[in-house]
Amino acid sequence: MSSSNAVGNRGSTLQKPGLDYRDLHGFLQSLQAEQLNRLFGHPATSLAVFRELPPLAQNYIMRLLFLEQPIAQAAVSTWVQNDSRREHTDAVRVLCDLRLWQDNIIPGGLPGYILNPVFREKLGTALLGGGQAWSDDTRDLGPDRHARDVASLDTYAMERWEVVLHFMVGSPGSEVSTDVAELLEGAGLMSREGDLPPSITSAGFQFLLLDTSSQLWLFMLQYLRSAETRGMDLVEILSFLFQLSFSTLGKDYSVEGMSDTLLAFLQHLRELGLVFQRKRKSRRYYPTRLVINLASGVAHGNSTAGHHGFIVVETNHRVYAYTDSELQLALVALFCEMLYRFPNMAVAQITRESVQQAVSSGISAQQVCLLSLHHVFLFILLSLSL
Amino acid sequence: MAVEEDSSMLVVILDVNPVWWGRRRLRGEPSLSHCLDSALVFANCYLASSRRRHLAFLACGQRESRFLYPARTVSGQEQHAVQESRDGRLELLSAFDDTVVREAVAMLTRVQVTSDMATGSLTAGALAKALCYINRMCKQDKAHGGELKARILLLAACEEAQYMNLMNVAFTAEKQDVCVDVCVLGSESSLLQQVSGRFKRLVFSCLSADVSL
Repeated sequence: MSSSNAVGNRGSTLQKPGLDYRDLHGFLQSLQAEQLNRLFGHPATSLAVFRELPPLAQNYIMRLLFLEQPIAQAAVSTWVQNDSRREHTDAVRVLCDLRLWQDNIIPGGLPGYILNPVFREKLGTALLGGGQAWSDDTRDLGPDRHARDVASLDTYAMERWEVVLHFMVGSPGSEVSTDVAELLEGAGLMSREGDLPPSITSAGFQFLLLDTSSQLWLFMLQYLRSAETRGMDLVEILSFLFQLSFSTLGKDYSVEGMSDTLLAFLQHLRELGLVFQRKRKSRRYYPTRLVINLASGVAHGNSTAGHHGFIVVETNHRVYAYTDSELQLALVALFCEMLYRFPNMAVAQITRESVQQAVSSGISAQQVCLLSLHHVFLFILLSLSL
Repeated sequence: MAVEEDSSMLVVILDVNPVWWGRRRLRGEPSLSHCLDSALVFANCYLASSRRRHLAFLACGQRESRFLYPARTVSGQEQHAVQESRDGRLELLSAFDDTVVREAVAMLTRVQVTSDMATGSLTAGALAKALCYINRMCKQDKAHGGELKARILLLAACEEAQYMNLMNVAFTAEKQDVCVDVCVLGSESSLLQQVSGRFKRLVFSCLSADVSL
């Protein structure tokens, strides 16, 4: 197994054209100016955008937060020393691209910058108070008799998300709604040929290799891109998504005052495991860990340090998978022929036919190597490093 | 996503010596509530900048120094309050602000003013408590595989009389690699200058509105 090659190429495979892994900034920059202004009209979005800025840019925003007049560009450039010019230009570029800083002429004719007034006001509200509450109190609804604790929310979230992954892998018995299936096809992760049920593509296989928060973010990006075609207001659902990402785990929130678009969005989130709602008509919902980590990109409890691999590959092409998770076994079954199944282990064989079958459905040999390396049993990894 | 940064922690120590603040009020200068407001604004901005930032707030008086945030309940447990936000503020910040103000009021109403009160504050004690808290948090974070960088911000009011204690604390802070920034609200103090090493200017300009450095 060419393990060293696989490791060396790991970074580059993610930039394949199949997966458009743009981050929050890239997505926001692709929006129109008018949409951006409406987006900044909600304190949650302004705060989320502020958080994602590089530290120097955050510093600049803070300096201008309480300033209502424009400030000269020359003055701004004196804020850094000469050997940090590059960071300064990067920060200014990020701020201008997101239309947070607008060019303005100050009295006297010099070019200046002014902070986007909508952004300034809403960030001020998010930090210091005033304005309207983001969502209504659930105190009026009384204490929840069916309250869920954090651990059960986590298990629920992972269960629901794994249903989507199972559907991608083609496990029998996993069903998702047509909306989600369409999204997967639209993102290029699955493809449908004629009347056959959709099957996973090469990009989809790559998608399965990512960690959960990246998968979710990619999926949500596709959802947001197709929002307009489904008649949903992009700004509204994006603001709601950011609002959710600032909520506290284990706390319930009320659905009062949410528009129809948002209620439909909430049902989709419920299906994906990002939000827990006991019944469709429940008036309260609990955000799960998945959505809280979504916009921040911080993967709590998902670090590779705690990642236990489960595959051992022998030189006689035997694969031992120490797991009883259906999803992981289905991943292995994509390119191996399953031989035996035990309570905590499964034995499979990489045969010519199984690899040909994988290749014909778009999975490259390199991806197979990557998958094995990614999930290699921890013990083996430790002994390799000695 | 945003650049991966280490967790960082800030401990803000506010000197709430009632005698000193009372005298200032009588002179018509900005009072403790102004200073507390400014400090809360600074703390909010700090907390909101990144998900991986933590903050603790200490107040030191003449007889005691205590944690305003995270507050301690009657049973001695730490309480990170979460409550509904009544306005457009982030929930976390709302809870933080309310807790700090509530605890500060509780602390100050308990002070009994007598005519022979010492006028110095227990700054060294508060710094020591802050260092202990930082040490505990660092150990907890290490257990999860993270690295915590910590700083202390001291908003000092009146003249500090406990030279030896303060020097001990300053050396400990240096050993623990904790940077101490000092913002002196009254007249300049050479002692505190030694403690902080170099005078560091505050990054957020919103704090210097009412306070004369």
